[in-house]
Amino acid sequence: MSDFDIKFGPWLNYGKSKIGTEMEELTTKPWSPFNGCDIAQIFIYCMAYAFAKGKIPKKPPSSGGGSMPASAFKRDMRDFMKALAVAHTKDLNVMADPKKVVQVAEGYAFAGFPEVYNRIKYPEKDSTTKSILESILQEIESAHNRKET
Amino acid sequence: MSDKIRINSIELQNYRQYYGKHKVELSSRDEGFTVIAGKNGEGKSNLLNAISWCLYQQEPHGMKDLPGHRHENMSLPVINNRYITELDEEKRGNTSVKIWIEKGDTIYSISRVLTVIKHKLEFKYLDDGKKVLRIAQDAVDKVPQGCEVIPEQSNFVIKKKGPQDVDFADTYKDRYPNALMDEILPKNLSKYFLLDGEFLEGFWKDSKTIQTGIEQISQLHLLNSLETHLVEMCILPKGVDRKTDTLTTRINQTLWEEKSLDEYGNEKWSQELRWKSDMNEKDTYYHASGKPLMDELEEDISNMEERITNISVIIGDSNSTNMRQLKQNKIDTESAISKEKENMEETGKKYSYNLITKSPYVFLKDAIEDSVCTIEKRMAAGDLPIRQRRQFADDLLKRNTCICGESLASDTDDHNTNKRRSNIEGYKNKIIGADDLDAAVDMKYDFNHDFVNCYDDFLKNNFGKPRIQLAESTKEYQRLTEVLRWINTQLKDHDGTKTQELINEQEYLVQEIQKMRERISSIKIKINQNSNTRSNLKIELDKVRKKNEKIRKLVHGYETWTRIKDHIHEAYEELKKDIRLEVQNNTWKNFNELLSNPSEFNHFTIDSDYAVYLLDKHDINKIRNLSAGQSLILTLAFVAALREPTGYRFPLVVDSPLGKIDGGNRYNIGTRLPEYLPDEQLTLLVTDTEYTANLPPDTEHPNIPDTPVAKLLDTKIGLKHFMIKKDKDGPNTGNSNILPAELKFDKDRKAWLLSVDV
Amino acid sequence: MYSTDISNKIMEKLEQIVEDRNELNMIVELLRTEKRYTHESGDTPHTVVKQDFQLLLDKYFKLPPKDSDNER
Repeated sequence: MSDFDIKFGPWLNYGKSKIGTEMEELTTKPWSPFNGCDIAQIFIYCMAYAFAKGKIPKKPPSSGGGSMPASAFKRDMRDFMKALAVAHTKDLNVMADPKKVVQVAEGYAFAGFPEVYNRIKYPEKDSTTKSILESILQEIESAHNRKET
Repeated sequence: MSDKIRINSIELQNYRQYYGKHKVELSSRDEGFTVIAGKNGEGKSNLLNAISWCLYQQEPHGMKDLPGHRHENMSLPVINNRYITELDEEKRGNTSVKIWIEKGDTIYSISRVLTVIKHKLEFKYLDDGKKVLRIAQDAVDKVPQGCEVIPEQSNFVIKKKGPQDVDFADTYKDRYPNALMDEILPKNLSKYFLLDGEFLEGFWKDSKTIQTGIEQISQLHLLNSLETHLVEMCILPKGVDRKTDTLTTRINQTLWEEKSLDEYGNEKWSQELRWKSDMNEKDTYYHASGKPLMDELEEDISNMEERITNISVIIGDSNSTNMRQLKQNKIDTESAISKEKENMEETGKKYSYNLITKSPYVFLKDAIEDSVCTIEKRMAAGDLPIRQRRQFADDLLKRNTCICGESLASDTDDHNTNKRRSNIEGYKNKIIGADDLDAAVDMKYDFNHDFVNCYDDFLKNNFGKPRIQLAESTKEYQRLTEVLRWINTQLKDHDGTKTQELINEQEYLVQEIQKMRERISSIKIKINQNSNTRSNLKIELDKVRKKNEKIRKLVHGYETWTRIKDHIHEAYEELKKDIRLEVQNNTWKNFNELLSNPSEFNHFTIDSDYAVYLLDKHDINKIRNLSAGQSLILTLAFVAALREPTGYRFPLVVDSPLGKIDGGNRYNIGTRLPEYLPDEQLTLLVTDTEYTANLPPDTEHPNIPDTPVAKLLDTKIGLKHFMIKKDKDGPNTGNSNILPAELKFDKDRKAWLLSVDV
Repeated sequence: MYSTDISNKIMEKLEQIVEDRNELNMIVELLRTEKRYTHESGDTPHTVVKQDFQLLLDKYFKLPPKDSDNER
């Protein structure tokens, strides 16, 4: 399968929107566990978070230009998006429709981003950069365990 | 040594619960101990009160009036209740106690009589109709309300009979009775020979008790008061002769300076603080001048020299191989810290990376499992992978033969005439473009391999292990940092900075010592000059005085009193210390011998201000926290110790000596008491339980015999027994009698008992 | 031989310190006087003390005549 070019909306671009500013903070500020990371990593994280938390995907604003090349997303990231799209549409054939896959992925990422940002920017008392992500992981893992029992 | 003294006998008449006359003859020490036994509340302590009341008109033992209860007092009237009840109104009655005391070869008959007129007795009526006899509050001696004390017929009389006398003679003409009584057995010393075992806790709470005991029994108080009077005699009146006064003042001034005194004879101090080696010590000041200052400087020089020596030792230690070792340890630790820091950062980074990149697996677990499941179903149905179907179609077309064997070749080259071939080509065209779905198969394999089939391991390897590694690395880093901190502290103590400080201190001390030595030299010169000046002034004063008779007389007196005063002062200061130390050491020795568990205590001191310290193994002063038993034993030890350096003699009466004492200590007292105060008369007031019951078992002293204190004493010393028995019926109910008794073994009860001679 | 009403301990110490016999005798009498005072109730007035002490001084250390060479 060839890599697809993932055309993302301008909401991910640096500095051109509120989210853009917040994204920049997450990748540059010392209090952020994503300090030094790619935007793509944050995108995938927020997307997966939104799915785990049962959020409803939200269509992001479409004005402006800008895109992220497929090469920004590694193979496992693309697999995440595909699996998510299949789960969301309940149709395996969606995997043959990159546009649809991206649309689903973007919807979830846009829904999850604000909450992830807030939890990192305004953590609980005595949290560290690592412990914020640890506690998110533990929450979701516990939820899985409860579901299975 | 003062005269031997004993109480021969005590006679009570209508005193407290003793109706009528009761007489007790006490044995001398040569005959043994006197033991008077009785149950609680039958009159034992009132025997002690009787002695005290007769001799001193005080009853210090047992219940006292409680403050705020003036109309509901607890104490009983001195006069026996039955006696006063039976007495007719407006008739006189009296209570008395008489004691015969033998001192040396003189016998004293001491009696105190209290006479009252009985008017109408007053009662308070309770809510239930019962009546309570009211007791008059303001009298020294407690009498029922409604009885009037007649002072003229109440008296305190001492008669004496010497070895040559036929009968007792009044002493009133020679001495006032109270003054004579004070000579025989001083009132302020009564607490040292009339001991109430139940109320001894307070004995050790006040240093004045100890000071009085030591100074008064040893008569040091006489030296002290004599010195005070001599000081007044040593004042040379001024104004008699101006020239004499001036010369005298100048002489005195040289003396004052030499002794560092002011014009009033008080010690004079400077504002200069003394050097101290320990900063925690209290600040003290030098005397202002003279010999005391010189002595203090000498003492401080000696301490400084000791400090200089100590510093040299410390500096020597710091140059040892310890420091080299520490420095090497520091290098090694810093290197380990650096490595561990790298390790910590790396594991931290890895863990953070995993939290960001691997968490989506967990978040998308449901989606991943669903998609894997869907793909597997399609694969099972043969739908996937599509490339296999395409490859299969290509192979068939290439072979021009179907798997069923039918030809797939076209008749012509330019267009397809074979229908089967067309079908296959059409099928192939349909599935072109669906290749992307083949990627799902790869995705499925990846997910299964990395996540679905090994979920627990996935969590462990990506989160669990890195978290633990990071925690361990962090802990190790912190430990190494702490080690480095300790090493640096050690190095600081040994390094040059500290050494330099010590060297500076040494140099400072050397300079100070030099200055002090110069000061001492100056003081010596000054003292010599003063002495010469004084001699010259005295010569001049003598000449002046010889001319004036009045002054001569005054000066003669002054000089004599000054000499005497100095002798008394010297004797007092030395004796005070000698006697105090002797009493202290003897008390400690006696205490250790009487106490069954002396190892609890480590040290006993009576300080120069008479504060008492009894230290345990942890250097805590237990003197105010002694048990009643320990307090009694310590008091007995002290009283015995007082006798030895002073030679003072007194008869000892002890109430409840064993009541609050455990088995081990009772055994000790029973076996050792006969050796104590070997020349003193000893009278014990005991309960039958403490005296005739077998010693209670004591786990710390398993070898204590199953025998009462009575038998322990009986094997070592003669015993004369009495029993106090309260009448339980008849007109004398509630009143007590003192009866001779014998110690016998009751075979039925298999116990030792005191039985009254019938 | 001294009176037994002053303790031996005090007597021994005084004998060590006081070389002059007269002084020693006087001190013993002074102590007896003090003992008498302690047995009386209340403080002894200063005038009484002074009088008693002066009598002892006259007894043991009579003022020598004016021109005597034995004067101290």
